[in-house]
Amino acid sequence: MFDILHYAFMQRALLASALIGIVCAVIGVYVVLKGFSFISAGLAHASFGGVAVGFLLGINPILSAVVFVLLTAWGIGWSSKRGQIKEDTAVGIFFAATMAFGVLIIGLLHSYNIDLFGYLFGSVLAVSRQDLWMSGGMSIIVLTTVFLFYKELLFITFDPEMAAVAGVPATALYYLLLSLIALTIVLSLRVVGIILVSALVIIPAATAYQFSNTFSKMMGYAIVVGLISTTGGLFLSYYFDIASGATIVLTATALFFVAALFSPKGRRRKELISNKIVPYR
Amino acid sequence: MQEEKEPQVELEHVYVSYQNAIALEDISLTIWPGQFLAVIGPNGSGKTTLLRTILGLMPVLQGTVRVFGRPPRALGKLRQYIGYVPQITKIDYSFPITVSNVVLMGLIGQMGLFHMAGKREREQVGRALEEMDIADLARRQIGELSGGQRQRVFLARALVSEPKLLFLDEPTTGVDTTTSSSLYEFLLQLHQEGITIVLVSHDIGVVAEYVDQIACMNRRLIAHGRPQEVLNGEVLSCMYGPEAGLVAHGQVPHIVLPLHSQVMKPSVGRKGGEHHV
Repeated sequence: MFDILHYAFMQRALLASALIGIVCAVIGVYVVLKGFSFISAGLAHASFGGVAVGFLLGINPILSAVVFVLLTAWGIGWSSKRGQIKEDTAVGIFFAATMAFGVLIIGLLHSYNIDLFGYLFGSVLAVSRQDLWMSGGMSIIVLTTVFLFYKELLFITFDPEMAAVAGVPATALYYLLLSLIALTIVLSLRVVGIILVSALVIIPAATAYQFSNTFSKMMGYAIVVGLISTTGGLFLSYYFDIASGATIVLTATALFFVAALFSPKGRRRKELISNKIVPYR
Repeated sequence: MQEEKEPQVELEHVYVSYQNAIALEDISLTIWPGQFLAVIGPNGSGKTTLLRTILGLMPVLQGTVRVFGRPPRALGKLRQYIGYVPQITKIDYSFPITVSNVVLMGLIGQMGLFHMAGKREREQVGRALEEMDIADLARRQIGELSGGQRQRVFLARALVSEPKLLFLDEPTTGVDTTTSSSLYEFLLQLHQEGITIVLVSHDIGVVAEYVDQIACMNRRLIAHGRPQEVLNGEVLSCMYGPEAGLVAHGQVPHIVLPLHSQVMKPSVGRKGGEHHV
């Protein structure tokens, strides 16, 4: 069964899948707890514009996407903090505008670029050595930052107001978190694609949430679910010769529904009712 | 005697807007060390905004705010002397976090970046939990607690850094009367230890028994002084409208509002035509 691991492309695919399984799960914990799902979906779509710019300039589309998605993330943050609009409205504007920008540029190129499909839906088996280095580099940046700011990020996620009172630079950390989400999305593009990447950020963390009563447990479980989804999905897609990005996301979704069925949170709620203990809220 | 000390909080002609409306208008207020002050007023009178302004969470349009002699956003290390108990109903109780980690957050200002909680911090958290009598709940997820226990967790978080100035926003919302009177007794004890306490509340009657200063507001500061000086019909009608009068039941002042008054939200569990607030 492990014969396929002799192929270099399969080794790269496995390594890339494992990497993004971990990074997406870690960032997903903050995304789920802070209610940033729409932001992550919006940023994923914005990366289409970034990839298109890369094709236009003839540079690596992942590089242009990093810059483009970071700028979009800061734009969303700035307009919801400074402006008179709500965060989800800001996402709604940026997400459509950047996508439209991408479509416009692709149209200008006058040649239908076959690789575009790979960026939209992911093509893990086509991950090159260079792609792997870039994803690896960005993963290290994201994971190190989370490690260094672990308690501050936890604090602003749980109670941003109290964090600000305690002297934690809440606004700076908000931008930091947006930047981390942006990087995570771009580094995962090659594997799951623009359309599906936000699912890989959200689903493992949402699955872990069902079973976790502490933050570190939630992160640990999310990493396990993320790893199983990406590597398991990769093997399934290889053996059945089906689309890898879609298989990875559907594996994660299946795990989520299994978890939701056996969630102790649901059971606890039922116990509260049967014991006639009414929870606050 | 008080005048010899430096004031801990000073507001001079402060204007603050909230959602495109003026929330605080020309507020001047001084809080001296050791005072036990209740800020009272009807819903939407700017009580919470006042607290948030002192804490540096609101941009000030005009006027000056000083806490420990400095602007609230430039307090630096002095922040550790401020304890804050937010409205406990505004917390996400499904968040996967344990009681001891919530309390640990109270020390984050002292720990500095990249520093993980060590033995010293764990001991401080342990002491705060002991003091609030919730040491046995340390490893529980916050959603598993009762209202009174939650209240103690957030008090422990505010007290873990040993503050000199403690702010509480509507500390008795969502807890029963027994819990709320034991909370006030506890605050009284902190007050006797010399901690300055500022609390925002709308139960005037109960609060007046415990505090030594009351600030009445309705966007503007209507009156500020000792409870017996401040709580008169004139002040109350400024806050709650001309229909409100003051009736003394024993030592506790009660406000009586007419039945169809739109001025205040009716409280739960009242009967008859009077609103005892």
